[in-house]
Amino acid sequence: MAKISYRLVLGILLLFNMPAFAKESFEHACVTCHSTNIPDLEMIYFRYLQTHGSTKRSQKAMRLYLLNPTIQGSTLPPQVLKSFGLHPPLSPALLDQMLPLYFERYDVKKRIQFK
Amino acid sequence: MYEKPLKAALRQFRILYLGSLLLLFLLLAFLAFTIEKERLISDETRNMDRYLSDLEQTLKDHHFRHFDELVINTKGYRIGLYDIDHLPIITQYSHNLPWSEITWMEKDVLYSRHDFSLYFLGVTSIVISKKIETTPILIRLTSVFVPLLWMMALVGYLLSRIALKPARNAFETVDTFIKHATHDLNTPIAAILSNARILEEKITEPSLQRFVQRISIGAKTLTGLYEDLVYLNFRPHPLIPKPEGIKALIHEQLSLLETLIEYKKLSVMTDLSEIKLTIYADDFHRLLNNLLTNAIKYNKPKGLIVLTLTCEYLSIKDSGIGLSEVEKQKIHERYWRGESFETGLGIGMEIVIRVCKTYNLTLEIHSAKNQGSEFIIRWPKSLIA
Repeated sequence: MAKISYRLVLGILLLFNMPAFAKESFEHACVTCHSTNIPDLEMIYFRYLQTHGSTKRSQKAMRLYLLNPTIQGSTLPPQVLKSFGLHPPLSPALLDQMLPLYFERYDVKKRIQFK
Repeated sequence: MYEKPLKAALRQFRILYLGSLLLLFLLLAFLAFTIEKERLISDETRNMDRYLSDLEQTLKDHHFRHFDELVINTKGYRIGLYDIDHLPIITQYSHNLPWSEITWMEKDVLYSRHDFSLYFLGVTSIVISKKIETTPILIRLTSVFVPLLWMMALVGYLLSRIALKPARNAFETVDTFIKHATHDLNTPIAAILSNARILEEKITEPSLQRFVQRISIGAKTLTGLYEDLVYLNFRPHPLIPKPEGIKALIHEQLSLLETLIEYKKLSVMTDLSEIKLTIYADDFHRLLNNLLTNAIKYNKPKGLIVLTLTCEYLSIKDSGIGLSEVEKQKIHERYWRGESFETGLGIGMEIVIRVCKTYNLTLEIHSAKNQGSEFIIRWPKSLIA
């Protein structure tokens, strides 16, 4: 059921390609799904950062993976992938809208301060 | 008389001693400063390493748990967190950093870079820096070295006084002797001169007149030496110069040295202009006396002396033995004498040079061995009355 609604929302977004609704769609499609039965979005964000060493590189790697999800291309451990499976592939246009929102949401730069 | 060279020697010794002492202390201070600074840098590097380990642990802790905000206590350091592309995640540096260095100094600021193998929160490198305060080191070194330098300088001063005391005593003894001897010479010389003059008038026999002439020459030479010694030892200071006719002074000196000139059968040619200089007459008397006496003494028998006086200079030219290049250099040395068979104490040129210095006169010597000498005294325009 979750997969059907997820694909439905993304399909609508793809169909209309409306940036004004991108953030709302990200909240509904990505955040809702990842907060329930698949790995946490923040955990994935830090895992990418830890593996690739910069936001720019992480975003690039994530884009590559989501365009064509494979076990080798994933940064998640094989055990996790066994439990949750590979992420469904996403279109370049969708990724262009979603990934910046995703990295903006968990941006580590905004959360570190000096005293 | 002894004071000047002794003081000069003492001054040279002190300059050399204090100079080398200062140099040694500066070198030691520099070495001590360098060692202390290195130690300070080493201590600070260790502190930085400890801080960076703690910070790495903090980043690790936050990496594996949800957090809204991470506040890093800088503890007085300047810090920059960078990603793998050396782009800042958060930084307090506005300038570019040399990524080829691990630890470096820039304008007394110590920088240290720490690279992580695991990129917690995406941080791959942390650059940390702190200003190295060298002022306390300088204050500490100054408080040690300056009193020590003063103490060593005082010891050097006392040592120089002790070391030169025998020389000072010897000089004092010689000086006292010369002063007393000079004082006691006056009466017998005056007696010899006056009696020689009487004898010259009374004796008519030519063979005896020759002996009397020799006595007179000897007495006049002694008078010259006596006057030189008096000039050096008892010259009153300060003296007020007044306009003096130089032509008259030259004639006066020539008449005083007439006996000597005649004895050597010398010819004197003069071309003297009327000129007045603002001087103290006795100074010029001594200068003329010594230059003319030399022109006579070192001249060949039946030689020539040419005196030229213009408004710019006085030239005393002789046809004597002349001076070599080495002798021309040595002429400024005290007690130096041209030829050993001639009489004199060698203080003549000392007096000439002293007078020249007093009035800013320039002494030129043109001479060649066996070709005679020319001594030219030039004076500044300000001296012309």
